[in-house]
Amino acid sequence: MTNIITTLQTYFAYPFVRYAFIVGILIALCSSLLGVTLVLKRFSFIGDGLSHVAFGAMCVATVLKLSDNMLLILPVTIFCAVLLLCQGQRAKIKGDAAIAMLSVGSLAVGYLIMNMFSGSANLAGDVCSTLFGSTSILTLTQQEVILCAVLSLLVVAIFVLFYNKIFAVTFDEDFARATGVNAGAYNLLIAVTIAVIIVLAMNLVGSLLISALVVFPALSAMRVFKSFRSVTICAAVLSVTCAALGILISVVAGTPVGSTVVVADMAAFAVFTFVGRLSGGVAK
Amino acid sequence: MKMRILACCIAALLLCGCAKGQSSSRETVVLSPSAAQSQSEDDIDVDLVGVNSNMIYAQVYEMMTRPEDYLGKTVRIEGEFKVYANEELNKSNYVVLIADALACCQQGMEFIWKGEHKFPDDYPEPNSTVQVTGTYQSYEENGGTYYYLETDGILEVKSAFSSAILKASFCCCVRGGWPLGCLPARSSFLFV
Repeated sequence: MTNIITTLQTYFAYPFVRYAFIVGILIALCSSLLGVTLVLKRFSFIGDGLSHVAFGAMCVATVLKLSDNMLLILPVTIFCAVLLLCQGQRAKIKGDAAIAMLSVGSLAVGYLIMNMFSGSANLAGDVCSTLFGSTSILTLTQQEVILCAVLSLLVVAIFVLFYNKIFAVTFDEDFARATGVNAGAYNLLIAVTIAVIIVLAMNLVGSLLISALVVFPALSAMRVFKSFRSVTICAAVLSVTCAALGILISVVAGTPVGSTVVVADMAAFAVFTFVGRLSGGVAK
Repeated sequence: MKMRILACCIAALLLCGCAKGQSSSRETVVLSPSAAQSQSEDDIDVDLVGVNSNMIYAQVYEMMTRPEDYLGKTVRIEGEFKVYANEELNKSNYVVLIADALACCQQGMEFIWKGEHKFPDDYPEPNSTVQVTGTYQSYEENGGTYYYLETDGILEVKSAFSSAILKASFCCCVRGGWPLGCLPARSSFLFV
């Protein structure tokens, strides 16, 4: 145990480890907050779809040699999020089908473009790191950390300020509309916020594992708690704890960061399922 | 046949157990006497030996993206020795490479061995594990800036533990047929 603490103290002397820890916790917090809404709206897989869109945009930005990939990734991801979440009943291709089309299409096009045009010396490493988030969280610059922090605080502020409206739109959109809530605008806000979170979360867990950050904390909390507020608070605490634990374990043991965080989330889900069965899920 | 297989596996496990006691011994072959003189750990500013692959990847990445913080510093690194031929410039680049388990997220550091040395006579075998200590420097080539370690010598690292396992597995395979886990193709993974 002393060895582990000493090792952690040594590793935390590196600035990139501190940056990874700060950003990882902020991303986990934001994704868990919106994760509850997505799970309840039956849009659990949208994280996966949007992350693949972000991957495709990242590939195009890399090939175009943009100074900052975010200039392309963020607008494209936001556009697709709005397309998927705000169409509602008017969409000719709905829900899971639309997500699947955008998701696999972006992944395929992105990988094809990278193979045909990229000048990267380590294409496999770049793609692998983006898809699985093995080390990308450990290669953040100070500017990226500040950007992540600002966007994360913005997401938390939006969630806190519009909590009641988000709650209403999540559970019964028609009733919310009937009571004068501008459901369309709040759906748009949720879509934009999710897109921002997805782009940030790619740094932590990679494109393929983002759904875990969104889904697992919410589902784990729902095993034990029943009210929206308690599920949200529990999901946030759980997500932050698992992310912190996952990052610490991966730093000490040398395991891929993204996968370790997801395994920590899975372990928490197993524990909460067990606790939920024992307690009958009555905690509010 | 089943008893023979079982006996071989037990023998291999027992030999593993014996070899485990020797796991701390790593044989190093010094390819330059002066390299041994500069191995004092106090002289090393950035030590990447004994650090996991995540940290090595991140540290080397930072050295590449923020070189001004590291130029002139003494760096020690251990990994796989690779040679990349540059036919355009008629030269070879010598690199220490560190990869994760999937060998996709890998990071490397070029090194230049001071003095007159010929490949392959003076250098270790490619893909062998080497340890290099040197000063972080830069050079310009073809309009680009490249970073490398300027070193006095190379240490080739051989693990006694992995050698014992290979011998045990090979013995089993020769005497008892091909029990599971004794196939020669898998022994290459033991040289880690």
